[in-house]
Amino acid sequence: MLEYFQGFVNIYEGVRASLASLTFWGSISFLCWALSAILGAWMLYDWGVTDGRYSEAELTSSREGEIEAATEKHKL
Amino acid sequence: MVDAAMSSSPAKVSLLRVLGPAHVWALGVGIVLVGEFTGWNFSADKGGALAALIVCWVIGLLYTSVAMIDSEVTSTVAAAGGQYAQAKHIVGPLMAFNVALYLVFAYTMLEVSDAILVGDTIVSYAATDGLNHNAFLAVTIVVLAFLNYRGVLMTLNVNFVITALAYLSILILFFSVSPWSQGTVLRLNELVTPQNALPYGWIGVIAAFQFGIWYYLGIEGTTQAAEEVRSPARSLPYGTMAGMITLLIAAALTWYVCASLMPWEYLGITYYPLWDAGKLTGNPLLANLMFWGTILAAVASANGCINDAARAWFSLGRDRYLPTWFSAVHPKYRTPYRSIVFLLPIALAFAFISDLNQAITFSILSGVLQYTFMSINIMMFRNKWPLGTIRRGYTHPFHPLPAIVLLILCIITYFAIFLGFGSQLTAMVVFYMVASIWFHFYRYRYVRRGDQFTMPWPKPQGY
Repeated sequence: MLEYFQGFVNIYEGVRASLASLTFWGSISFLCWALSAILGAWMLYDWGVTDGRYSEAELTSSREGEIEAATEKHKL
Repeated sequence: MVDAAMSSSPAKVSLLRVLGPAHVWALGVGIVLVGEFTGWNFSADKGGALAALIVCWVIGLLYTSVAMIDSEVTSTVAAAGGQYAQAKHIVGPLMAFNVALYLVFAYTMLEVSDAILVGDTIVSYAATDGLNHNAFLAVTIVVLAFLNYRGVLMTLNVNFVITALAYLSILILFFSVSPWSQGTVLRLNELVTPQNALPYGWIGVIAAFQFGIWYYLGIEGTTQAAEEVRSPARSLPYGTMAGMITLLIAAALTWYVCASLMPWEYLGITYYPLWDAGKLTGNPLLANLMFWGTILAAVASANGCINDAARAWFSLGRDRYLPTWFSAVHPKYRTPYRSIVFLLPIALAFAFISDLNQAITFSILSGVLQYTFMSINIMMFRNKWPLGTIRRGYTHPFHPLPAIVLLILCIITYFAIFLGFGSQLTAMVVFYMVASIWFHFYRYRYVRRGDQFTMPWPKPQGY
């Protein structure tokens, strides 16, 4: 468990080190952190919106072996 | 779709059948090709350059057996989860639970290894003091998770392009060094001699098996697309076999070029054999090409691993082997979005705290456990449902020879792993035993036993 939190400490250290020396590679590194944060946040946002809009029964309605019928109804 | 959600009876939301054989190829080769850019060469450290070639062939035989066996069973059990669904129908729930864990561990640890490779390669290329690889690990894992979240078709279209480019880089390197004319650039006859070909004898060849796995590790991942290909009976065998042929060629070319440019003592310890080969040609264009080849191969591998690990996890949830919460499918993107996002921080945490050797060792161990299962699985499959009793999309030849070869090679590989990573092997086996006890005595009570078997097959022989 301690090692797990160490991972997030490493993230913080990485961001701090990137901001401290904004060389070319430092800037690239910073952009990587920013992009990761934006996309991560977007996934969490979309996850929340999706869970709010659809019922749990519908979201977990997938059944092994029933995909053929579902595919026929879906327009590609 | 929103209208459908508003209606009184909830609509079915399933994964989409949108993939073709090229996507299956991209998934399988994409996961594996990174092994040509790093990893296989450690077999030279264990047994010399010739040992690396011998294991290239012998492990190639192991994986050809894997591909044939997998193609037959998967073309019949076409469901997400791949080998998990196979194990569930052919062996039983406890085996299936273990196989799913092998899959999730193998692919997540391989994804972690790929991300570490991307980060380390960029840091090495940048050659800048104080540059940390963590940002590159994070962006690799998060961007690819995002891609997977948004849909399987785009994910595997991207994988097809970047895998093809990485493969092309190997071909360009091969033809750029005049392979038909030893002595022009290549010096195989000077670097691999009867005196140094097998420096540790045949025990070195056995020890090299562990790293020979890298040439092909992950080709069996094609089966995870079973529920999303338009024609599983045709696409899966075709994509998997084409992928295996592609990899056998890539492995042979890679060994030939690298063993002809580097002494085995260096080849066995470098993290970048093909990138180093590019540098050693003295051509900066080739050096840059192999740098990008390494990056693209690692990204393609991580991308395929996220796809496969998420589907195995999703399948466990769908059968209530884990909470059904994990079996949610995104109504718009038709992906197992909760499984993808759930595995994301786990991959990040391992990427930040573990090193490349640890991560890949756990991946290889889980992979070999899975191959051992496959050899037993096909025997049971043919015994319970002999040819002619159910429809098969593909029937592999020479049964039971591939299964026996696969089992023997797995046993040799266990011995090789035990020589190098005995404690990790023991720890992993203990982990799977504890997980099995938990599943048998606690979790299985939540499983709807009749619902989990979905194949419309006749009763097996002898039942």
